[in-house]
Amino acid sequence: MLEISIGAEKIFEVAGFPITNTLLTTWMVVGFFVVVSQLLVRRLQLVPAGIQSVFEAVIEGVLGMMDGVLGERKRSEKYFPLIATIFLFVISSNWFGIFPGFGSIGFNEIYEGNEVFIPFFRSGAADLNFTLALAIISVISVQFLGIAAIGFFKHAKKYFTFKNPIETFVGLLEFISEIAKMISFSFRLFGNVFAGEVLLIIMGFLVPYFVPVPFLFLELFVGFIQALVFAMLTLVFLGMAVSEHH
Amino acid sequence: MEVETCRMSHVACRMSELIHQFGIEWKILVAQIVNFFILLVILKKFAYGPILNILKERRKKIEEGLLAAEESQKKLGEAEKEKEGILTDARKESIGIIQKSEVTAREKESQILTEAGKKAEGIFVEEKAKIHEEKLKMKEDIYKEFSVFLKEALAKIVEKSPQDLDDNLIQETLRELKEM
Repeated sequence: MLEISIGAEKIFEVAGFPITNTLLTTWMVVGFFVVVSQLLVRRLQLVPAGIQSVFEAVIEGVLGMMDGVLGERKRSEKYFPLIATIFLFVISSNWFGIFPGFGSIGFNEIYEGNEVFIPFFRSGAADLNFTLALAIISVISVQFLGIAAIGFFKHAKKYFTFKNPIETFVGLLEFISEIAKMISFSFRLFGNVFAGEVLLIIMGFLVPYFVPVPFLFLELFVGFIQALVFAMLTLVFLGMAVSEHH
Repeated sequence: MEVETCRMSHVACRMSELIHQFGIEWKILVAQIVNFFILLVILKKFAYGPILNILKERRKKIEEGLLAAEESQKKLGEAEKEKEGILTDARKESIGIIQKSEVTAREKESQILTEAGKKAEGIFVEEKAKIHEEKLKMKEDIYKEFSVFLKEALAKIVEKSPQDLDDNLIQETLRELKEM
């Protein structure tokens, strides 16, 4: 019988540091981008070709989206690395999880008396550690960039103001919502990707041939949409943080 | 985590159970944050920076190209206009030159004609004067000669008596006079 674990499975341990299958996937994603960017930077031309045009298309797309939210190209370029990296990290770890072999190649282990199957690789965002890490990065960097853009006191005034009771209350709510953002960010992404994984596992278990194909396409789409949502929300919060409160 | 081993307060106990259930482990959390920043740094250095630069450079090149094309178009138009202007000027000038030369030619013609006329008249008058003079001189010469002749003839006549005068004599005399 198939075993579905909410948490990522530990594969081995190095000096007390647990290596989970999602961590392996994440490292693969990082490695992939290291290799690709090395290939890219060596063959950069004014007239784009091959891998460069793919990257340019992605970068142009993200920049265009950012222009729409932030209003000007200079600001878009300033905050571009954060947003683009979130997008690329999420979408690539989502899509890596759909590769054949992910979730199906692994080993059996005796865990709490039962023999369970543990895959070597598991989609990065199907682990709350990954999504929570990204959510923390998103929320904290938005705060930092907000402070850098308009100054600490002006930024703090958005949450702590004593001009009138209503604004004080609204400010406090905003402050709480910053913490809530971390939870909503992480659980949204985790829930979507984990549900996709479970769906694929069940489909593959029930009908191994042909039937999972539409669901694979669905997961490609969900992977893209979730990456877009994560990046877009970070961008919107960033746009609000770096502009002065009225 | 089993409930029996949980010695914390109820809420904290539930929290830790939840965290355990979802497999949240701070070591992995930190590792993932580190992963993100590694990716950020690598992409920024090797992908975003160079590509943004190249995009900017390309945009600049295209803008420059468009501007240059526009400028050359404008220049072409200006050159066309200038050419047209020069041609019009040249045409006007050439017409002027032709007209002027026509006028001068006509002037010169009349001048030459007058001069020639004058010259011809001068020559005519001169010739006339010469001829007149020659005529006078001739007349004088003839007078002179004739007077000598007359003198001789008179002398001869005086020498001879009129009764001796006959035609033969006269003829002889004349012959003699002629031979003189």
